[in-house]
Amino acid sequence: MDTADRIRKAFDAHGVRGSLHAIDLDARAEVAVGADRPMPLASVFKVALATAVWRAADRGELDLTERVEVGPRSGGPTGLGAMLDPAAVSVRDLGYLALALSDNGAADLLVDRLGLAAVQDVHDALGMRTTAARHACRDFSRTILEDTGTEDAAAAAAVLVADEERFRELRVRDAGQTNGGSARDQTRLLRALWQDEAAAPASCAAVRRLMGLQVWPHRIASGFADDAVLVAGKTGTLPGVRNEVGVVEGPGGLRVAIAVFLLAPTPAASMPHLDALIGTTARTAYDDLARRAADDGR
Amino acid sequence: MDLLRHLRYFVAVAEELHFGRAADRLHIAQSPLSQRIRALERELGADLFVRTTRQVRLTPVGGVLLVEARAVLDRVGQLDAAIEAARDTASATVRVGVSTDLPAATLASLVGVLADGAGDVRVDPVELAGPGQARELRDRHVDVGLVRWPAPAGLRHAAPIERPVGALIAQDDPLASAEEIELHELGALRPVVLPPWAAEPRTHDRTLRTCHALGYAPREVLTAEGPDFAAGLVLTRGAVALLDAPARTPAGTAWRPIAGGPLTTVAVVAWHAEERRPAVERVAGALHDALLASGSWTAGRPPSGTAPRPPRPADAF
Repeated sequence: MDTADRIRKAFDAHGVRGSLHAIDLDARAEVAVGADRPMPLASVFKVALATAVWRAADRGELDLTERVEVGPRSGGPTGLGAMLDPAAVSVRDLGYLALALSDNGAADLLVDRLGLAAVQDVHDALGMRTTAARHACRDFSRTILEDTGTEDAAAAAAVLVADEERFRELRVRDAGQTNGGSARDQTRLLRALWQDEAAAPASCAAVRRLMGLQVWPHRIASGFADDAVLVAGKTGTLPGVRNEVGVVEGPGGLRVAIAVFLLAPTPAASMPHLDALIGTTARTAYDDLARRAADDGR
Repeated sequence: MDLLRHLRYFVAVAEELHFGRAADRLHIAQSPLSQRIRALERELGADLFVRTTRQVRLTPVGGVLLVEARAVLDRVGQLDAAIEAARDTASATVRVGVSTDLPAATLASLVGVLADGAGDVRVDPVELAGPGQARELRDRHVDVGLVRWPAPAGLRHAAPIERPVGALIAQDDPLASAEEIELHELGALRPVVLPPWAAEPRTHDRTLRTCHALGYAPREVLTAEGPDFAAGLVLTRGAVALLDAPARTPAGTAWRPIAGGPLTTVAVVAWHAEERRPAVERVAGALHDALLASGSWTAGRPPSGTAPRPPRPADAF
């Protein structure tokens, strides 16, 4: 059984619809499973958002150290989204919160600053043809409340558990109605960031640093229990959506960009076996590319 | 030459005795009609019509052909009707999936019900491995089946039905002497056996949530797709399997209801969303009624009262 078949089988065994794309950043080798199918991105779109921020700074349209007054903002489970009081944070530190903590409040302040069109410009400029920016983070929550006919997150979660139909038809799970795109487009973005082509070299380095500071170890990183392996990534999590994109740097210098997108069959909040599945499938793909790099004498 | 088509054209002209009117009746232009009639005359080696500027008349040969052509076309019409009837009969054979959830014996009661109704519907049982029928229904290997709620996308279904989930334990387990099992009596050390998460994620999650809520927090969760393997785990691991009453209790085990009936299995009789044959829906309806009549299922509703506690007190997703 080849690597793609093994990954496909793992997706099937967990009852998920999955897609994966992995590329060796220094070669042409790839592992692809449903890699061209548009999938809902959830918070993974924040990588393109951060890229848009640093590109705007490159053009002199934005001062990264300008302090943004944080008043009323989008809610969310982390960072400014969960904090209650007014604050003032620099543009680049909003970027830190949005990428490292997946802070929805911080991300939407950046979206408000730039507009979603600037995020779409990144997709267009880098040839991410299947990827569309349609929602800010507040729209994820808004459409979930609309789709469930509820007024708060707890009530929406209860409806989703009870009503399969509404869960299935959530707009945030439909790549055509939310921020959606293929796994292959995401590795394209990662390649551009890691090869200093997505923005000025110093800006690419800044986005790479923020992805490296991500606090969540439960998905791609869980497949690499080795201090010699560095993982820089960005997760995406919504009801029935489990994603991560990232770059794994191995001890031998191998650099692999990986995107794994899963559509889970239930809205359960806690699905550690699917978090682990992202890690094991990413590892399977990485090991395959490592073998091929070794065969090429690298 | 397409003889049937030429004969149809010939009959139209012979009945109208007018090329224009015949062409109108056939919804074609007059000139191709004339060409077809000439081609037919060449083929048969005889003139069929006498054409003058004022009128069209049948020749004696044409008169003979008209009688024969009508007979031929009538028979062809009967052919279509015969094929139509045969096709209806074939489509009235409805394949019903038989699994651990839906024993073949239940189908027996269908045969009588369907024979009393209108039409000629035959039930064709198909043996399926494991409890699941959703995939077989979606792939159209069977026409009607019983699937656990919620029915997957792409299927239509009857109203939900339910039956209680009980505990399958070893026959010689002290708990088996009671008529009902209290979940909190099971003790955290006793592993629980559930359907695999990948096969039935909602049942799996809901059952575990309910166990925790009622004081049974098993340290180990084992999985089994059918009652026989579940019984194996019960007997070898000292586990308890939470499942609805098996059609046949596996040797060495006993099935006891759970006190208060906090858990039910909810199922629906389902068929493919694109199914157009009325017989399929009729069989599905009869099967739904037969399951309720069998006494092991009651009219149910989708489980709802077991909403999860939000994992984080966040105001947005």
